[in-house]
Amino acid sequence: MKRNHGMKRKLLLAAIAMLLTIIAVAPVHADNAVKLRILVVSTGEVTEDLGLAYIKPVLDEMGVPYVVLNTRVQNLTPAFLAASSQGTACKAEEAGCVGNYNGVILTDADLIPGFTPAEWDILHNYEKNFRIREAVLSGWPATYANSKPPHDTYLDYGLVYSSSGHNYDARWTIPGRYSKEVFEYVNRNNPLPITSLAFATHPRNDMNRLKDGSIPYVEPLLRTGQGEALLSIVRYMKPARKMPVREVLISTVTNGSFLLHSKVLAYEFVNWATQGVFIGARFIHLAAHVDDLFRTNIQWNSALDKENGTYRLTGADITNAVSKQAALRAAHPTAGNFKLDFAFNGAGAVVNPQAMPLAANWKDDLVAAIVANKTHFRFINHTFTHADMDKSPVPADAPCDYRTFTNAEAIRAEITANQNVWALLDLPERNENNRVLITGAHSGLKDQKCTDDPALHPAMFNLQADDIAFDAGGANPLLLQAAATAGVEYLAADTSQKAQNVEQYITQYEDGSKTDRLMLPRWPTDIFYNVTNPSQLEDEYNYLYYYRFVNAGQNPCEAQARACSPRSYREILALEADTTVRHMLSFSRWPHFFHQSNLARYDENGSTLQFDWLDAVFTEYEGLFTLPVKNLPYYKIGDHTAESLNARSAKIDAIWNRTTNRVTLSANKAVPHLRVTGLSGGEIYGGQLIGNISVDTKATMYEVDRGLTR
Amino acid sequence: MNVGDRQVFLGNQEEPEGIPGINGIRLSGILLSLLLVFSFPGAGGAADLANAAAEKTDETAKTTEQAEDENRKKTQQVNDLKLREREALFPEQAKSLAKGYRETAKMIVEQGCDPKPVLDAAAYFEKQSGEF
Repeated sequence: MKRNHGMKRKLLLAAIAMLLTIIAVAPVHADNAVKLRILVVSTGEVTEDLGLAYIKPVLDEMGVPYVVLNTRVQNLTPAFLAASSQGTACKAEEAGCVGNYNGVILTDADLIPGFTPAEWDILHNYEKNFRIREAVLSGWPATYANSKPPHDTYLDYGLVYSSSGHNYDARWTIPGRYSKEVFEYVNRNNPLPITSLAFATHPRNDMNRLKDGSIPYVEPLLRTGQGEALLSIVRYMKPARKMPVREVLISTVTNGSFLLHSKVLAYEFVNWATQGVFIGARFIHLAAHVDDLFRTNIQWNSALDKENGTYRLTGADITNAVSKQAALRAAHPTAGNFKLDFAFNGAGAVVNPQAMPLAANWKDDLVAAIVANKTHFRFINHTFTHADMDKSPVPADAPCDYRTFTNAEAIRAEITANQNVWALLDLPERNENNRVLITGAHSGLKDQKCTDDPALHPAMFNLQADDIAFDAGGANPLLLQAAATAGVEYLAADTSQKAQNVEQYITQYEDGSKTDRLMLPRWPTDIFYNVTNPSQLEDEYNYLYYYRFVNAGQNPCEAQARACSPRSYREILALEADTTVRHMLSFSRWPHFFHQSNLARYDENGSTLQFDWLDAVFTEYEGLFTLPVKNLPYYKIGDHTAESLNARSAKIDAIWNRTTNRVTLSANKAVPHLRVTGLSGGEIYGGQLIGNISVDTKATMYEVDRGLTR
Repeated sequence: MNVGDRQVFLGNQEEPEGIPGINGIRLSGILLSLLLVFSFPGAGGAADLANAAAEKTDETAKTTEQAEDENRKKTQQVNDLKLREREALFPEQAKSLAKGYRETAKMIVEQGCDPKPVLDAAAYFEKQSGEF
């Protein structure tokens, strides 16, 4: 792109550079302070800008404050970036001048047509003056010179286009000096498949300068098999200075929230731009909930293509699960002390569910095995009998596929009776878990309108078609009242259901309490509740996602699962693992839920669907990441979610003074648990320090520690 | 309903009981080595044979690894596509991206360079925006 100015000019510039080396003086930074906040420069709203739609949920999930500048409708001015108390633009070297952002993310590399050469100058001057980094999410590796004389270059990433493609096996080539600073969390030994359009480039690394005299020096971090750069650090060097005047991380790969490679790269765009010091944090989570412990699940019958027969776990299944869990931890270094969570229904663990007081059924080998091995697992209240909590039909005697409760007290009894069984079996962490509830089949959060059994409604292809969703008034207020009076704070939801895929306080229903229940979504999987072995799963999966559509004259390839042909168990597991890893890489805490049938031992090696799934997930994850996986109990997931929601609703003021290397923090309200990355004294995770800080209206100072020596 | 050959994925299989090293894969390895010894009499001695066997094993492992990588990528692409289809905003975003690349192409022409790569990118995203 750049005009050829010839050898003479290069020699002249080299001579000037040598002279500057001798006389250069480092700039003075009076306050040298910036707010901990990111500027995201976009080409449009989320509806138009794929990059903004990609990075916004990442920032939101991590709790990172940011401001979006939409170049389509807004102009960038110096005062937008740094202003005095009078509102006029100021420079870092002026006393009292604080930069508004400690990092810049561009959703597109050249920001055409919204960004003018003058705006590029304003942005670059801010980055240089306040020593702020920039991350570019995607786009053309531009080198643009002004159209008017002297045709000086205002934008140059130092890259030359080489090829385009959307199928690269990219290799990590992170230089040693960046090994503690960028992409510390990825498995650099494995290729990263790139599946969207990318411009592959070569670093130019010549002496061509931008208008400010800086020369881009490119170091690729991710390359194609042919050695072309896909993701690079560009350091803008001036001969007189050892340190770069500006630093940019540029990706020429298209990124979107639905792309796996984008999920792998996402964190570093934030981490790089902020120099590893920012409000917010990210952790990788995985929890597996095994629902319906002590119950009997109906089984899928492959010969009949419908449910027939039952399965209930045995004591041998539980001891097998203990060994499989130990084997999982041993095989996967990131799994740590991973534990399964059992959501249990105590009616199946007592001698007589109707008799009061309740008595544990010690003769049941499942009950005995659970109690003998209780320290290996965690437990969650799943109600006493797994009763349906949906609204009653109107009128009350209308036909309904399930029985319903007509008062809150009966629902409350379902919750408290299970708490009593918890005590009878002396299962661990009872008090902590009294605050948590998973209703049977997540019932009570939508109205199924009494259609639940496919056999009773052969004309309905989709039984959920008539459901009234949570946000449309479908939840049962009686359940919410009962939960409130029973002391439940966290209520499980199903992410596959409308309006249940959001962690939210349930404010729209009156439950008679001063506080609101917090909805905690859980991910369903395609390891169905009614299968114990691979052939059963394979059969039901292909019936539901392939043959059912073929039989109805529909194209299964165009349906939700995109099953263009029947899938093998191995293929189903691979898809499950890929999907789950995407959930994990979104930094969400949401657990995945299964059912007790999935823990049945199905062969002489002790294999189970549940541990096949876990092994596949960890294998896939460890192919991409090295970060330890957090496996939290559900009540802690609730606590952390509540803390995050509180922090997100606060206005946090954070200023990083680079001279003292301290951050001053305050908020407009009490935030007892604010996660901040890059402050000393926090938890070490992925080579960085993550603090859990209590902040209020009073300003407090914290030392910065970027963790670069760890 | 029959769904064809069943492929069962066995995670964390334990070593079968019996004489250590004479079971499963290890036994196959020994048999392969013996076969090679008797197939190439006097061809450079045991070291060469061991090298040949090791190379073959490496080659097989490489092929398996490549096949696994390919399968992984295919799986990834299925999910990429599935998730992209669920993104209600994607067609509009792809359209905007294509429009942006057409603008970039104009700039590249102004700079005296070849706009073909970005025009191709524009066409790529136009096609994607129209697929829904």
